[in-house]
Amino acid sequence: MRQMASLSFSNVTVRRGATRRPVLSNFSWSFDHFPLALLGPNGAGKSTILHTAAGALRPSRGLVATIDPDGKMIESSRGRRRVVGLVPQDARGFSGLNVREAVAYAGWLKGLSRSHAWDRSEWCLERLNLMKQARARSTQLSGGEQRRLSIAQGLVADPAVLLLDEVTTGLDPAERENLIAIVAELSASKPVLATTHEVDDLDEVFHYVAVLSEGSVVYENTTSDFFRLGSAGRSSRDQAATAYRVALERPNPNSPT
Amino acid sequence: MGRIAGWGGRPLLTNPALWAGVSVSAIMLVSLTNNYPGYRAPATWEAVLAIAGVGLQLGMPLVAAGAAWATGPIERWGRANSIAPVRPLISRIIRINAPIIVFAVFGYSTSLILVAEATRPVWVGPASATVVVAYGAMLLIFILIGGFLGLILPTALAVPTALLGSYLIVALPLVNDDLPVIRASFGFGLPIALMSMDQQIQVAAIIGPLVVLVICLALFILAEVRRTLIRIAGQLGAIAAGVLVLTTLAGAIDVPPTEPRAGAEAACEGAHPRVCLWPEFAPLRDQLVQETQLLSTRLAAHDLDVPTLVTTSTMLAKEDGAVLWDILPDDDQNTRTLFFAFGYQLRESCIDTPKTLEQAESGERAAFGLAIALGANPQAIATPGSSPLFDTISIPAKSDEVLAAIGISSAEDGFSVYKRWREDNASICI
Repeated sequence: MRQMASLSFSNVTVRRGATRRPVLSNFSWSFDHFPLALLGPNGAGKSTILHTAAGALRPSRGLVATIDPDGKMIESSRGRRRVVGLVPQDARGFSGLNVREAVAYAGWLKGLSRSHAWDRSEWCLERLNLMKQARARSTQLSGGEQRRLSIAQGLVADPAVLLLDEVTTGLDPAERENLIAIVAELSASKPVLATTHEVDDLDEVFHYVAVLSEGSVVYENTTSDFFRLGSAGRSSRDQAATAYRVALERPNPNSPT
Repeated sequence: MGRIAGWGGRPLLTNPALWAGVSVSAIMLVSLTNNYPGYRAPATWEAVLAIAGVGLQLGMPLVAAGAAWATGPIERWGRANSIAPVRPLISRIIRINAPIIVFAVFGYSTSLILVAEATRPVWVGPASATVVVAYGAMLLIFILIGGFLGLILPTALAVPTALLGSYLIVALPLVNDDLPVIRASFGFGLPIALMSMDQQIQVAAIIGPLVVLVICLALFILAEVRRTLIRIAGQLGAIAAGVLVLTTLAGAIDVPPTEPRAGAEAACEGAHPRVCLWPEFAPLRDQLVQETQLLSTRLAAHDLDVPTLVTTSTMLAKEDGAVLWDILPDDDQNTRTLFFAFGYQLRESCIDTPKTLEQAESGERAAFGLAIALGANPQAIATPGSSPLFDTISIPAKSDEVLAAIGISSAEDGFSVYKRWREDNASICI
């Protein structure tokens, strides 16, 4: 029987940078409600969680596991690389590759055969409204197109879970709206976990919200409950901002009392 | 079926691996014609394979640099886009460097066909195929190492590092004979191994590149192990195991990495002298037997011993009174006479006794003198560079100049010079 995929972290420590500073320390949590928005201040460890879940970062200790839609637990890094699609914050094209080639090559790196990767690239470009740019140079796209290309690269190997790292940051309003619509459509058919700082239109895409602070999840609930935290706000934007502040100020459930 | 941006995700024409591959192919063919005009080679398959691969030595640094240059940027692009690859590192390196592999195989195969066509070699058994495998391993080692450097270093560092590394691997065994392990490991002994039909490549020299290739593959697999300690321990273990095997192999390798071919392969004929030749001489057998009889008659006429055995095999030549005739099937009669004289002089020269420069030069005069006395044309056998004796003669050599260089007044005088040398030499032999 098929079920929803999930990501689980058990006592995971991840160190980054030249100083090997621990960004996550003994982090334990299970993300199993999707689509989920992961909020948190800069440096809280949101990107680190995504990169670790996708097998792009190696934890120095602890266990990271993905449960695929068939209920199979995948603990190996190699296995997670296959079933988790990651869309990074700072994606860029490769000089010399056109858009479709860049998507197909990402699929090949993920283990697809050449022909399968090429076929899948077309499907991805259609879903991301990039067919017109298929033959354009992958380095000469606008910011929004670049983000959509990056999502296509994350999607090409048909991952069990799609992780989006601040994909709407820095986009103009029209492109942002376009991207949110695409993510909403994707999240209807696939578990999506996205980090973001933009909270006012969370309810357009995400059914769940988690808030991360100093390497720990301090809040996780439905989006409607999250908004209720900020019910004193006059607009939905105010409500979301207030809810975010309230969530951050809640006591850390993982801290010793 | 669609395409994925040329080979390895990189457009074909801007892939440095393509141009490195084309260049290495050209280098193989040009170096083949320069080093072996007319591809004159001993007519064995092993020798054909060895000579056809001569361009590898020159092309290898280029292959390594091209591999590094081609591999690095696209791998870094994958990392920048957080595409954690499922495909193994080795598969990615080979894919990106596919043009080099294809063109190197093309260049080597073409060289092989050219030499084989020119020399009409005789198949000497499965050993010939092992040399091809060793060459294949040698080729892959450099591509893999170059590719790996391209992965871990920026292009600006990877290219000079690959060039320097390849240069050192080629150069070190040349300047220091005590480094046979490098020659054996990277297969550089193979192209120079068979300048004589009497020699065959040592098994260790064949296995060396294969061992290094296995170590490389093990290191690439271990490079992807997640746990740092396991990775480091595994890599050290793989290197230690490889060094142990290579050191053992190197201990079995003389310099150059060849060993005499088994004497049992030679076919013998005649009685006094008995003539034992490699199967490759079969079409010339009657002519060569006749020639040795004629030379023996001339020796006897001047009170010189007739050898009991004349043979192309070093192993058989260990027999008392035997002459090692180190000739090739396409040598002309003058050259054959010269090499007969060399073999005749060698059996009496007590080679294990240390000699002064003058004594060595005296032996050289005796051999050339004997060759001319036995009928070799002085102008045909003496060329500047063939012996220090002829460094000052003109080109083309004049007959009287050659005689003067050897220190004889006429062809007949060659016998006297030889006999004088033999008396002098007897006194220094222990």
